[in-house]
Amino acid sequence: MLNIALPKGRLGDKVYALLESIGYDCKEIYEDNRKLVFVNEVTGVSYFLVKPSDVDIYVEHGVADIGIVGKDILLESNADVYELLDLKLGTCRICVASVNDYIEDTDKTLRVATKFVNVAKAYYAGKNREIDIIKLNGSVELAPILGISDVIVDIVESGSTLVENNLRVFEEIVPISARFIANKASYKFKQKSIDEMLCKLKDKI
Amino acid sequence: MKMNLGTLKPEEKASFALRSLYEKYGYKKHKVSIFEEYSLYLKYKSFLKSDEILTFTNLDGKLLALKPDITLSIIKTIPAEASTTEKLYYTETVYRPSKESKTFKEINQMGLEYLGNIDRYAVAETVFLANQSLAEISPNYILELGHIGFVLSFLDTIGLEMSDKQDVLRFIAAKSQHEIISTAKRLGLDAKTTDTLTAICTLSGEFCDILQKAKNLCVTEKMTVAVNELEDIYNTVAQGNDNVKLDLTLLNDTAFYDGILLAGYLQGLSRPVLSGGRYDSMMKNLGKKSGAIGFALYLDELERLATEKPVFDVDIVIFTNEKYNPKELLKTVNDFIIGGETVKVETQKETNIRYKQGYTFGAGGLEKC
Repeated sequence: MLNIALPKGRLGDKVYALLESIGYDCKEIYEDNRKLVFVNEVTGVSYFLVKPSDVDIYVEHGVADIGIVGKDILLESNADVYELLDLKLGTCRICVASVNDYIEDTDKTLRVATKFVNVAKAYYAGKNREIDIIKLNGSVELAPILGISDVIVDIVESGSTLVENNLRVFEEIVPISARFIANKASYKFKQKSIDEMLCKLKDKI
Repeated sequence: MKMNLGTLKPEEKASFALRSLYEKYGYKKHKVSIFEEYSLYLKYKSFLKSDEILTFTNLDGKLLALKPDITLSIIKTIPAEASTTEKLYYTETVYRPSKESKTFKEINQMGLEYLGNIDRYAVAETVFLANQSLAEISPNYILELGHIGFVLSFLDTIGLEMSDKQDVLRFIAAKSQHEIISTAKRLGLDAKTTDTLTAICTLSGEFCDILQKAKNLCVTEKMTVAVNELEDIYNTVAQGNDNVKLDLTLLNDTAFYDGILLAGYLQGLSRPVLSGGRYDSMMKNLGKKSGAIGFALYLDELERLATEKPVFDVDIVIFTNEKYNPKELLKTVNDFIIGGETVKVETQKETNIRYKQGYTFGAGGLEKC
């Protein structure tokens, strides 16, 4: 039995459709109920629906053998897992953005508002730029508009939210997409079934 | 009176079994102090898993640390020469930061070190004992062998900057072919090099199959030497043992190890319980003129091994009432224990403990409840 952690929401739906198309279906996942665990003894899979940012935790702790998680979450958590495949789903970018007329003053410490604290720290450390991090959990776009920060480091999908708020992208830090991850110990004991699933996924994407 | 080993936890059973195993092969128990001078870690910080160390100032003003690692202290204190061998094992506590709770954690570790003249036998015996250690704990185990020289030697042919090399090592260790491809593109590596790097990411699994694939990828003498050494160890120690696998993406602690690598897993546990390898260059760094190989077992991880939960806390509970005779009661308790039962004497009738049979003990002696 392969235990799979799926992120709840749009990405999870897309990933489940992909897994279903290669033979890992579990019909009851569509049933309208509050269940969080779905098992299909025939196909040998058990799905857990969890909060997207918790997928890597379930996998790292071995409760789920494999999981599908955004690269943004992996970069932030630094989870000790195998990252076996880029599913090329849910593609976006982590970018540096600010108000349209922003001009960087390199003589000052840069104030960066973000929920991706580790990504921002690593990026600016690589540029040898001194920064102050302002950790926000949502509506990050507000920060440079209200003047809490000079820039934001955030996920940009189409960029329309930025445009609506008179913001624009200044630098791209890293491209993001959904990744297929595996617990290191589970991979040793279930390598054959995990590799088989990987192989089918590679053919499909 | 028979010793009841059934009540021991998995980590306690393992500790007993492994002591006996290591002593049979001539390893001596080595005790190190719980404290170490901080300057040792300051000098060799890059060799530690984390640079966060629990320190305090001793009464004489010296800065001491609660040990985050045992091997460094052993290398420091053992006069290992090329002409001699020191075979040691230890059971010690180390103090490392916990990723989850962001506090220091006490970790119970058992380990074995073979220092001095490391020949083919020494390597074979260490790998054999790593395999036996896992087998003693559970039949459902996997011992993985790797060789740090295989990947490092290939990376030397590319001539990468240090930070790019670290990225590539990280992606190989995560088996991320997609990250290798995008990094290779960024660095302008040619197609053949990129193909070899992505092929290296897949080098894990059944020993003989992977060994053959690895042989086909060898482009340097050091890669061939690494593959031949692995083949030699497998033929000596593990031929036909399906629990022993090969993983050339195993790249633990590249700053510490410089040859054969070991990692052990038990079914049902999410993290490795054994890790180790050869660390000759670390010995040289600490001024020793000999080689070394060893491994550590993380006994704390065994806590999470599924064990049968006992239905009862004790077999027998004796409730005392009225004026009982303590001498008679003690004799009764001992009689039960000699008969192989576990017994608890309670003065209160109300208790939360679970027991098979209850008795009362009063002036009239023992009576069933």
